[in-house]
Amino acid sequence: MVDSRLALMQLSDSFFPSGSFTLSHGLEAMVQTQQIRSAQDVETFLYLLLHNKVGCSDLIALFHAYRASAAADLGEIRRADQSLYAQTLIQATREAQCRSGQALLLVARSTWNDAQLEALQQNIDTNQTPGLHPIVFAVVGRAVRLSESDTCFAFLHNFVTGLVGAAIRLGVLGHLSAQAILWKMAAEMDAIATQASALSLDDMWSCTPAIDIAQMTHQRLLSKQFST
Amino acid sequence: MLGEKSVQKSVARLGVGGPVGSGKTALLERLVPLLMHQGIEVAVVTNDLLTQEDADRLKRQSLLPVERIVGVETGSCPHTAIREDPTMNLLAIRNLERSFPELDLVFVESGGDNLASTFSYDLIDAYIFVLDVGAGDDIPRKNGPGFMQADLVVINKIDIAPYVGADLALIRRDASERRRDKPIAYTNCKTGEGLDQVVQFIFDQLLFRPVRALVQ
Repeated sequence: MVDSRLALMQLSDSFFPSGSFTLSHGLEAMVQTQQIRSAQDVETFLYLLLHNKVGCSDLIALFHAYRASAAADLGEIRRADQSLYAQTLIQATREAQCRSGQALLLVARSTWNDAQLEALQQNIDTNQTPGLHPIVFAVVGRAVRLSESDTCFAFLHNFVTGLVGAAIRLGVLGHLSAQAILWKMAAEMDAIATQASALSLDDMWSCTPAIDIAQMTHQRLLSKQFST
Repeated sequence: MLGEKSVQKSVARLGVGGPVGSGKTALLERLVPLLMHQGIEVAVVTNDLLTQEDADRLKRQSLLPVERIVGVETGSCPHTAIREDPTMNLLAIRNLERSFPELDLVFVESGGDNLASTFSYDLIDAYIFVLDVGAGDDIPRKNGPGFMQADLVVINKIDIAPYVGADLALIRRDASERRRDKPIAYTNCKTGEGLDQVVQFIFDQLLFRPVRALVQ
C-alpha cells in the first residue's frame, strides 16, 4: 500500500488543479481600496480570516464531514455541508465555495476511485447538498487515507498559500516576505485546527465584517483579476 | 481507465490562444456567424486577464444569446487557466452543456498570453494559436510552443503587413518550414479573407461533417 504522505503532498500541492488560483477571498477588493497596502496588512488579513472565519466555521464543518465520511454516513456529510452553507453569509463566497468544491471533486474523481466521491457527486447533481469546498476536501482526504488532522492541515495549507500567492500577484507582497508569512501562519493554523477539532456544528460562528463587505463589493470592481 | 468518468467530453471544444491583441476575439466575431449559418450550435468561454472585457465585447455584438457567453476570471494566470489548472473552464463548459444540450461546439478563448502558451488536451480537443503580422516577421523563427504545437495557426491582420514593415512572404516561408505539415491560415478578419480555411479546419477536425459553401 502506498504511503499516505504521498497523497498528502499531492493534495496539498498548489500544482493540484482545483481553481484556487482564481480566488482572493476579498483580498483584491481590499488592495484596490487601499485597506491593504503592506506585508503586515496581508498578515493581519490572514490572521483574521483564519481565526474569525475559517477556524470557527469551515474547519469545524470539515472535521465533522471527515468523521461522517469515515463512518460512511452520507447524511451527516450533507448536514455538515448544509450547516456550513447556512453559516456562509456572502453569496459570492458561497458560490465560490461550491465552484471550488466541484473543481476539487472533478479532479479527485478522475484521480482516485472511491464510491463515496461518486455518491457525493450524485448528491450535488441532484441538489441534495451544495458541495462546499471544505466538505469535499474532507471526503477526498478520507478517500486517500489521510488522517483527519493531515486533511485539515492540507486544507489550511492550500487556503493560506492560495491567498499568499494572490497577494504576490496583487503586488502587496514579495516572494521572500510571502515565505516568512507562511511560516508565521503555521502556528495559527496549528492553533485553529486544535480548537476546531473539539467543536460541533452548533458551535460554528464567524465575524469578519470588513472582509465580508470587501467580498460583497468585489463583483463591482471596475477591473479585477480574481473571481472573488 | 482512470480519468474517463470525470474528463468525459461530449461537445466539441476548440481553444483559441495567442498573444494579447493578436485578434482572438475578432476571429470569434467572424467565425461564430459563419458557423451558425452552417447550422452549428455554438457557445463561448472567455478567459479574460482583467474584468470580463472579451465576454462583454462578444455579448455587445449580439452574435449569440448572452447566456451562451461565459467569462472566467483567471487570477492573473491566463496560462494556468488553460493548461495547468483548467478546472474552472471545465466547470464553465459543463454548465453550458447542461443548459444547452443542443450545443455542437464550445470555443475556449484564452486570456492572451505569450508564445509559450499551450492548452491542456483535457480541456479542449484542438486549439488555434492566433498571431498577427504586427508582432514582426521574425515571430515564426522564435519557435514558441504555442506556434509550434497548435493544431492550427492563424496569422491574422495580413492587410497591415506593408504598414508595419513586416515581410509577409518571409512569414509564409518561415512559418511553413517550422510548422511542417501542420496547417496555417492567413486571415484578415476585417474582410473575412482566409476564414474559409479556419471553418474548414473546424468541420474536418472537430465536427466531422462536410461544410456547405460559405457566405461571408
